[in-house]
Amino acid sequence: MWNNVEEFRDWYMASGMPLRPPFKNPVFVTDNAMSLCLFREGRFQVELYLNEPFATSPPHTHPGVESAFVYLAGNIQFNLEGRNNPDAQQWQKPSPEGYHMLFGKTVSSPDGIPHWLKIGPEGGAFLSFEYWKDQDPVSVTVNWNGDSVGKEHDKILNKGDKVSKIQDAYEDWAEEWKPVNKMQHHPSSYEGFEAGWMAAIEVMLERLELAKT
Amino acid sequence: MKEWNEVEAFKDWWMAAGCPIRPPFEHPLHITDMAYALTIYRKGQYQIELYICKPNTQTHVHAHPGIESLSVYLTGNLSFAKDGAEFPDLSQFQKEGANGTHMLLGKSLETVNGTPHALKVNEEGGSFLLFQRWSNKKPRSVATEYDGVTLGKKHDKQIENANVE
Repeated sequence: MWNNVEEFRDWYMASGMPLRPPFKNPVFVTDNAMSLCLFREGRFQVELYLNEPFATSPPHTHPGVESAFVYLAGNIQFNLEGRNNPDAQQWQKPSPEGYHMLFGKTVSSPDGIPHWLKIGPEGGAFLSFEYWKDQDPVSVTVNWNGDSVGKEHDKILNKGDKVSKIQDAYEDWAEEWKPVNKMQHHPSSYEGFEAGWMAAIEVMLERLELAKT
Repeated sequence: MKEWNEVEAFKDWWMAAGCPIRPPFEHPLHITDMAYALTIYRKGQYQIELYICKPNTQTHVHAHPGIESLSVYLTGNLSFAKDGAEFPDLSQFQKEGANGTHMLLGKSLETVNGTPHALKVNEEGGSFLLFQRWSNKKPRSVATEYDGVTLGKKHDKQIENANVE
């Protein structure tokens, strides 16, 4: 076994990147990315991330997980708080062998340090090496501290249904209230407004019930 | 340069060579409404795409003209159908195999040579490798050499981009 995520990464790369996806929890989907766990052993795993063109993720952390990122292909700007994050556009070139010139380049992402991504028009592919210190590995997509990347991500973070319900009701209400012209001040109905508040009250009541138990 | 006579020989060579993962700089990623694909190896007229598929999705019967292909199961819950036949019931194989992997890991299907086929993905999502030999064109993605009803707007965009370039 390995002592840290860098040791695991170096072993995996030196071993020819073995493809051994697990049966349990191999695939995760968010609004702008998909992941496949390529290898899992004990508290260590490596996930392949494929990102849509122009995808972004807000600054976030993965509590309890030490990570290391390895560049595969596409156009990826990986940013880590407190680090000089050079503009990756200068390296959007092929290597003499026809790979991306950043292929195999790595950045460690220690537990608790926020990082964020910006993907270019080509999309992006990278490996996420992970050492889960406190629990069995699942996916860093669900072990996420920070704003999500969207509604699909909210769903797998188990907050989506309730948050989306309020957000959708609010958006309907805001649309209904939007003045058609500058002289219009009054909404035609309060139904959307009421729906938003009812959803919010429903969630609060559920939380109160949970707090009692 | 190493060449192969057919897609099966290419697959055997790649496996014996330790499954090298070397995505090309040019057109490595293709996104559709159903799946994301990364070309993990490309050499001459041959390439391998790794597909990650969204849960609860399905293609219509379609073909990839001029491409001989062979799929290899990685994980998840997938079912392939050939020539308009029903999807086979693979539920008996939805079990854990050696080292915590899927029991179908590494199993390959018959070669498809431009003939109609379809894919169904169940609630676990899924992933497979697609070994390909392109007879006439430079390899890009089977998602862009697609004869059939497309999978949605993202897929249409991929095909449009490929036709423009």
